[in-house]
Amino acid sequence: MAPIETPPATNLKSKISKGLRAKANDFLNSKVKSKNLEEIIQFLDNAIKHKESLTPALLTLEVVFTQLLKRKEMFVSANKQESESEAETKYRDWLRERYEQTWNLMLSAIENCEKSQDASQALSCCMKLLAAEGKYPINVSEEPLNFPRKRLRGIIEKLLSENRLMPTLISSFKEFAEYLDVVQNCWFILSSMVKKSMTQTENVAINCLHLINAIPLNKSVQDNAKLLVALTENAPETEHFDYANTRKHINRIWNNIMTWLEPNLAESVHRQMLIVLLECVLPHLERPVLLTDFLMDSLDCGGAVSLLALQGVFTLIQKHNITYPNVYEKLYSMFEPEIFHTKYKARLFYLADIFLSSTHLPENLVAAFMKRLARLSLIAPPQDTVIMLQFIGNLLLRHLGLKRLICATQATEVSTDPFNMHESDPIKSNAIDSSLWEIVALQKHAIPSVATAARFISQPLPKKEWDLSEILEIKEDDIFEEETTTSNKKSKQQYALAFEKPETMFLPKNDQFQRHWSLI
Amino acid sequence: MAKKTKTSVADAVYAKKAVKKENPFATATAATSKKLNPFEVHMNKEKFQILGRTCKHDKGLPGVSRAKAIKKRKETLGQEFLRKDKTNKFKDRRIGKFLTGDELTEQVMAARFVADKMERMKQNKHSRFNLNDDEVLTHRGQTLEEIEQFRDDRSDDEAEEDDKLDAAFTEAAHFGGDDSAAKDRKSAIEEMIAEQKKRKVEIAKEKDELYDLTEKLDSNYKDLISLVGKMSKNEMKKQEPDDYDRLTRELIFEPRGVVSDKLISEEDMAKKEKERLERLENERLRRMKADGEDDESNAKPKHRSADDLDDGYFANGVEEEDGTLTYTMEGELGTNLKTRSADDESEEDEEKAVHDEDESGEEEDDDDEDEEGEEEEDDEDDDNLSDLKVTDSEGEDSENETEKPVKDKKPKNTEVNKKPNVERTDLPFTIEMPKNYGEFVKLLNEYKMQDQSIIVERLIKCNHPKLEGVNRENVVKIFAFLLQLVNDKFSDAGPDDIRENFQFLSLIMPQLFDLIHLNAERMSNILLDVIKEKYAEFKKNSKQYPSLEVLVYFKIVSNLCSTSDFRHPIATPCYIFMQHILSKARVKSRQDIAMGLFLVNLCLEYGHMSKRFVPAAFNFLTGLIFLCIPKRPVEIIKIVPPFQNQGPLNKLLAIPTDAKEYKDIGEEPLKAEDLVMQLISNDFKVRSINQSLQLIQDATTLVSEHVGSNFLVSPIYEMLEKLDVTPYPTYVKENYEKTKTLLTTVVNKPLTKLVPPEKKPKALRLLEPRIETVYDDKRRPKLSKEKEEKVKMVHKIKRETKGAIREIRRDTEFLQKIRIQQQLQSDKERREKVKRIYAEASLQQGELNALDREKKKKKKF
Repeated sequence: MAPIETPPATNLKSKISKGLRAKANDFLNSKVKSKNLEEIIQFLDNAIKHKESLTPALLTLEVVFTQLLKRKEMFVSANKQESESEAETKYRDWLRERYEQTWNLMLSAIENCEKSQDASQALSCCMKLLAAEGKYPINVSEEPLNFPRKRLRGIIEKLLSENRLMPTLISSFKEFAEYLDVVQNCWFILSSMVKKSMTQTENVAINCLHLINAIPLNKSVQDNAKLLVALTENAPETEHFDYANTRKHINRIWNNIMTWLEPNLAESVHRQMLIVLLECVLPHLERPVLLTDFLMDSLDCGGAVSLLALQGVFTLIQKHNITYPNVYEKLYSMFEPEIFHTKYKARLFYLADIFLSSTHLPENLVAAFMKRLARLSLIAPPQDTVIMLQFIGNLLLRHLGLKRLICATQATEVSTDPFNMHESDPIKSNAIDSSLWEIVALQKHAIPSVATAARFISQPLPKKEWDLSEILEIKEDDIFEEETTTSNKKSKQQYALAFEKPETMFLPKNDQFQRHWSLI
Repeated sequence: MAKKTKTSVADAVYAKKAVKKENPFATATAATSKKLNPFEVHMNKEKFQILGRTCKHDKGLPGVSRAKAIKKRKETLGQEFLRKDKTNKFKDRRIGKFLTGDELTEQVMAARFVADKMERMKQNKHSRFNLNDDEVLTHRGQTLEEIEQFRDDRSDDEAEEDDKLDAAFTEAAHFGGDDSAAKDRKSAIEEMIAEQKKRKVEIAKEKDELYDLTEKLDSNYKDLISLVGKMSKNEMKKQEPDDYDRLTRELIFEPRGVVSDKLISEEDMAKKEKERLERLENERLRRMKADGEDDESNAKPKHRSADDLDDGYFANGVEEEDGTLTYTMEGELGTNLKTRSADDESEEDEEKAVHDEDESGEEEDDDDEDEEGEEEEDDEDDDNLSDLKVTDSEGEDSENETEKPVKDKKPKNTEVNKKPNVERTDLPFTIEMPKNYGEFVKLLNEYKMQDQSIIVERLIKCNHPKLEGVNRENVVKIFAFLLQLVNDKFSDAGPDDIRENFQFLSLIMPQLFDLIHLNAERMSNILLDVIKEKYAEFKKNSKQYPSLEVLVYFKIVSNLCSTSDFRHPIATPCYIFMQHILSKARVKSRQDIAMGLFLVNLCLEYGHMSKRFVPAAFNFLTGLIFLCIPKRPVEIIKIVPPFQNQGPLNKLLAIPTDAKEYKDIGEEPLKAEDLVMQLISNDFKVRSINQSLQLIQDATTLVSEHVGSNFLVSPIYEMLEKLDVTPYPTYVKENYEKTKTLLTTVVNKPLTKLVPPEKKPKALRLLEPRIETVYDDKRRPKLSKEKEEKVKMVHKIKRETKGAIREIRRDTEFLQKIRIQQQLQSDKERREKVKRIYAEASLQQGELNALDREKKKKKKF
């Protein structure tokens, strides 16, 4: 465990400019050069004011104060030593003043600095100083706790800024979320900070939710039990991690958050709430059934919110035995073309796969899902098309009666597709009388992986289902990558060239451009 | 007949002699056949003749077979008996020890010799590595060396002579009859011999002399040889060649015609070209199909014969060509009627478009404030458009060339390339390979744009890989340079120079094509790397359209690669790239719309042959129509991203329904400037909607034959229904109606329910005739198969034991015979010995008696 990680010397050297380094060294070597410290602090102040790069000053100050803390030069013992001269006391008080000044400067840098790199540098400097202070406290008597909670509170206050969203800062705060004591104290501090009034400014709410999301109290954190500030032997009980206590805090925070709910709640806040709920809070809640109303309301909102709510509902159904009547209808309504352009589509497919995994579902319901998926696959980007094709294949395997969608008993001709795409109730969509023509059309898709995937309906169905989890996370660039790399392995013959020599930029035959463009 | 066979052969032998046949040769036996001694032949009588049975035992030669058996016993059992009770044994291990007489061929002897040598080699270590064979080869007892030493050149012809008798002698000795015959024979022969010897000696002497002389001459020849040479050179003056000689010489030395390919006539050339194209086209079609994807026409032959065995042969062997490509008689690509007519239409359209362009050239310039600066250029462009079909190299300057019909363009190509060379003396013929890109650009910038392509062409020619191995790298470099140049030209192209850049691209396209054919793999890889790089750039911000050069690269790929392949290392990534752009990038400006249309156009071009589609292109076209619809603020029309149904961007191309000023805008295709300009002008609105309608038509025809294409085009159809075309010019309205009717037919195309592919009827299993052996013997009870077998075996064993016992008996008999013979032999010897001893003894006794008697006599006396 290394609570303070001063970056390696070489790294520092490259970052801290020469002048600053010299000054810092001089100051650390002799107390006489105290003016240097003031100059450095002044430098930082100026940099913040003029929006210059802060990193060198920040790093210098971090090193200086870490050293000072280590030397205990700012330490105020309970019983004042007589030997201490007045000059020394004066010097110490001066140092402490400078320390507070620096701290405030850094905090303001966190809040106000526009450049995310500098801000997160300031944040990490603060955290490192905090850790150093935890190890070498400046006051003994003042606080019984080793963990400088006050300082952390200051940082968190800055993170929950009203002025702007701080996703990058919070994500850089995430690296400290692996320390159990940081997480614990964060929850503790947040429980007193989260209030109802926070919704009035959207930024605070979102920052708060982001922050909560960044400090999940999951199993790995608890098991590893890494500490940023090592506990002293005589640390009081309260300092040790206590799950029940923390859970209480979490519950209190969530209850406060729930009070935010109101009709004109911003959609982004709502969505973030659901994410936080699903990813951090839900396992720690004492009475999750209370969430039902919230989730039901959210289900009706549409888009990503309802998808996330659906996942919450699913968890409730799975673990807490609630029943929800129209869940398939809701699921059905979520398959809209917009879904491919949201971040949560993998979640949707995953959930849909689970919801539709039962073989006891009515066939016309499943058929409706299949037809809807097939329709969407004609619009979707290739990677989603592949997922949907395999999903349809899986559904076919689960409900062998639905083979009639690809193997009709008679090749009867119909003028229009019996399936009604606009019907919201899957059971009434009449999909069972339709056929999966869309997949046949997809066999002519330009991208070979899609075309091959669509060919499954003209072949005998496999025995085993396709594993969707492997392809859920595939992106466009993955397909691109795959196409460009697999082709390298294959034979040269693959580099087939055109054989009609073009004399201009237009093709000698079948040119499509000259009709529509006047280019030259 | 039956009677005849019953009579013994012995009788038959005599009967044959007795009965006189009409044909005297009928009974003739081959001279070589052995005559059977009738007394040695034993006949077995056959009670019944059974049909189909060959009787082996009807006659036998007991004497012969007995002799054979005895001989065999002598060789085996007899030998063993002789060796009985003896410890030593003689073993023959030679190769072919069982061979005798004629069987011992040369080969066997050679093998024995080799084996013997090997054996000796093994025994003697010294000789193992001795390369000089110790074996001394001999010929008639003399070593070859000796023979070599005493070889005499003269001795060769001796042998012939001494055997021959001269004619006179023969005449005298054989056929003579004159008086000398009266002499007695002995003296005559002696005389003859003496004469012969004398003659021989004379001949020998003569030969010796001759030999000496030749030797002498030989030794002197070397002195003389120098004289001979000199004389021939100096004094043998050449005669003045006369006409005849000269002619002869000429005829002799005239270069003979080298056998070469016969001159290829134009028809042959065309035929060859056609064959080549057909081959390439077939390959392309094969690649176009996915593995395992059946061509629809092949999958369902229209008629199935009852004899169809599913072995790949169809009773109706000739497949009818459906939508596939065919060639007309001139070797040009044509399609079947349906597509053909479509092509014609499109060609007409094209011509019309060009025509319109010509007409509206002036007014268009007036309309566009932005483009005023390039009036002259536009004029030039119009020229270009009118003779687009002419190659670039001839396009610019040579007026006389442009008048020539397009047809014989190809064979002329080389000529055409040469002609301007003479005219433009300022262009260097050989160009040094520029070392880096900077130099390359500098080199090109020294010339006019039209000359640049010639420079590039010459550069390629100078660095053709066939000339030198290093050039292989050089051509790759040139290719990379050109791509880089395209990149630079298009990445920061403005409205002023965009046309120029496209012209440049047009000029270097044939060069790029030639280059990539020089080393397909390397250059394709370069092209692919460029596209990869561009894709990586695009990925960083996929919401924004990439810059123009990316589209140009796609176009280059379209021109250079076989984009119809099912999976192609370059075309497929390009497809993915294009669909990524179309589905993700936000449409914000004129440039974006133009680029999107360009991409859709590219997608259609890529898939033109293979009829493959990209859904994103359809989405984009739907979105574009969506942009044209003027929306009321509350109205929300569902639309697929990247288009948004809210915000200011959703009415980019919309025209208010009551607007009047759009009616007069002339029809024209999209312009190169649209790709670089941001502001959307009124004429662009009309232009883009018009062209998108046409593109929709193209796209719809592309997929119209696919099953399920209804669903692909139905969103476009629905969107089109919402569009109000009243404010647009008439040609847009016409186009709109045309598009709509086309879409209606596709949307309302009847659907046939999917049925599994018809299963091939299984061939009936043919039954082999099953033949059972029926044993119907009444004398024996019926037995099961195993028992039958067992009985058979027992019977066999019985017979074999019998035979074995007989053999053993014969063996003992034979041995007894030997023994008794030995006994008799020894008895005989003993008896003779006894006799002799007795004889000797009696003789002795006699002598003794005689002595006694004499003694007695003496006593008496």
